[in-house]
Amino acid sequence: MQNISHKLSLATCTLLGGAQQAQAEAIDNAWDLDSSILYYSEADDRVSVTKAMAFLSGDLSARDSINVNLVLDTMSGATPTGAVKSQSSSVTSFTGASGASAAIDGGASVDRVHFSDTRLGIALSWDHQLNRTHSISYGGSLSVEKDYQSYGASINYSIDSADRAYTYTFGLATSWDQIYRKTDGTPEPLSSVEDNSIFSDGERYSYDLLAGITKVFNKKTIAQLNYTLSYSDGYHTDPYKVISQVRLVEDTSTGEFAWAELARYYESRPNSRLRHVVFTSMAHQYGGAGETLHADYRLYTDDWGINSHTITLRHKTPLAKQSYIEPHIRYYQQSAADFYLHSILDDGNSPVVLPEYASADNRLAETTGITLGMEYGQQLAGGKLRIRGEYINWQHQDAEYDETAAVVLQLSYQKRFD
Amino acid sequence: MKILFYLILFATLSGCSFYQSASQAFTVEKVEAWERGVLSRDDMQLDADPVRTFSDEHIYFSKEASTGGRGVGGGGCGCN
Repeated sequence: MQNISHKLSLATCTLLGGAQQAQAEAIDNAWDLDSSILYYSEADDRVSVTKAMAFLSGDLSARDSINVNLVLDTMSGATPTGAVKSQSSSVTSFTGASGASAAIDGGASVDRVHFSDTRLGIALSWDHQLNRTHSISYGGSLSVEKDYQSYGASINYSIDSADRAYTYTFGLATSWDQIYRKTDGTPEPLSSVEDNSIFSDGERYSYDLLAGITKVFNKKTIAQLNYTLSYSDGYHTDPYKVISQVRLVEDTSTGEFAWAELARYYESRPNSRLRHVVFTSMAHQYGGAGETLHADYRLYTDDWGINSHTITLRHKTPLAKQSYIEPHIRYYQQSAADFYLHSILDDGNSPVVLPEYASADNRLAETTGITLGMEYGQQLAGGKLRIRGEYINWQHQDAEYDETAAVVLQLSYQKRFD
Repeated sequence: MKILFYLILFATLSGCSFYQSASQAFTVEKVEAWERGVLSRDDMQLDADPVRTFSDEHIYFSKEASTGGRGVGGGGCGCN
């Protein structure tokens, strides 16, 4: 009898132990789903994008976790091609100027083109804790749209110092991109649009190398410093962009001078690009209510002549009932690419010699961008809700379209499944 | 001047009290494992909202000539 009693108690303990273990595993297997819908719309009936996202992450074991990111973009609208605007909208008067006498080109310029596309993006990563201080992460991604495909792989390794005051991160990534127009391959760089000279699809290989350090300063401050070296080789030109050849001509009816488009070429960019990026980021909490400040700064330079500075500040203030408000400001300033041109000048006297590389894409112009945004968040019983609105304004120097203004609205809901 | 205006606007919106603690922000002190309550909060992560960060980086990548810095990997697109 005593023996049976002993066996029963053993069995009970085993069952209870099993239940506890299952509970522990259930906690380990907590999943997190963050779903979001974003609407981006540019003024002047330009680009609009609806972006639907689902980011799923979960623990596979005590040492392994995975992330699955799904993105579906629906894009449409009109985008500047790089060509000068038709004369009726961009006549610049130069009364008193002399020397040009060519006839005004009466044809309308195609300075913006309508488009629509859908993009599906999938990114997966697997994080594995090797031991108490070392971890590794493997990643893979693909992005598919009607005129672009991208496949990428990455590996990141991080090491915590014994006292956890520092984390050292090393990353390596590569990607292969395939670029073409919806209807055909890629146009011959700097060929006349009229010639319709089309090459095969473009390919680009990219390699990124990252080294970073994260430091815990104190109980309420953490900061990071990253350096990234990137090199890409292959087709970098935008197959849809063009550049106009213009001449200052006299309108015989008014006697005024105006720029006229005499020819239009497909743009041409270098076949490689080397980039250096230094990125710093910090988070600091202070005050009785637990206000949080996030500040980022990025210094960027590349061998196309683009240097940029980016400053981002976010300040989160907790409100009553587990809600918060978070204003956001971002300042961005970039210099122009060496080969950026508003247009190719034709003085009417000597034949035009085309440069090796030329682009009138306003994204390669000297640009200043300002973002102002506000987010409101609310912790709910089942998850966390965030709503934000942002206004972005870019001013492009020496560009046919010298301003891009956009609004962003985003609604996100994060739910944890324990 | 424009940037100064926006910075002042941001500071006003945010409240200015964080300037008072700016000097304390980078004070280096040893932090024990049991003292990491604040650092482990979601909003104290350097990337506090990965969905928002991903969305923003996609927008800026599409409209500006600079990209990267925060990390490597994740996939590209034809929007630039």
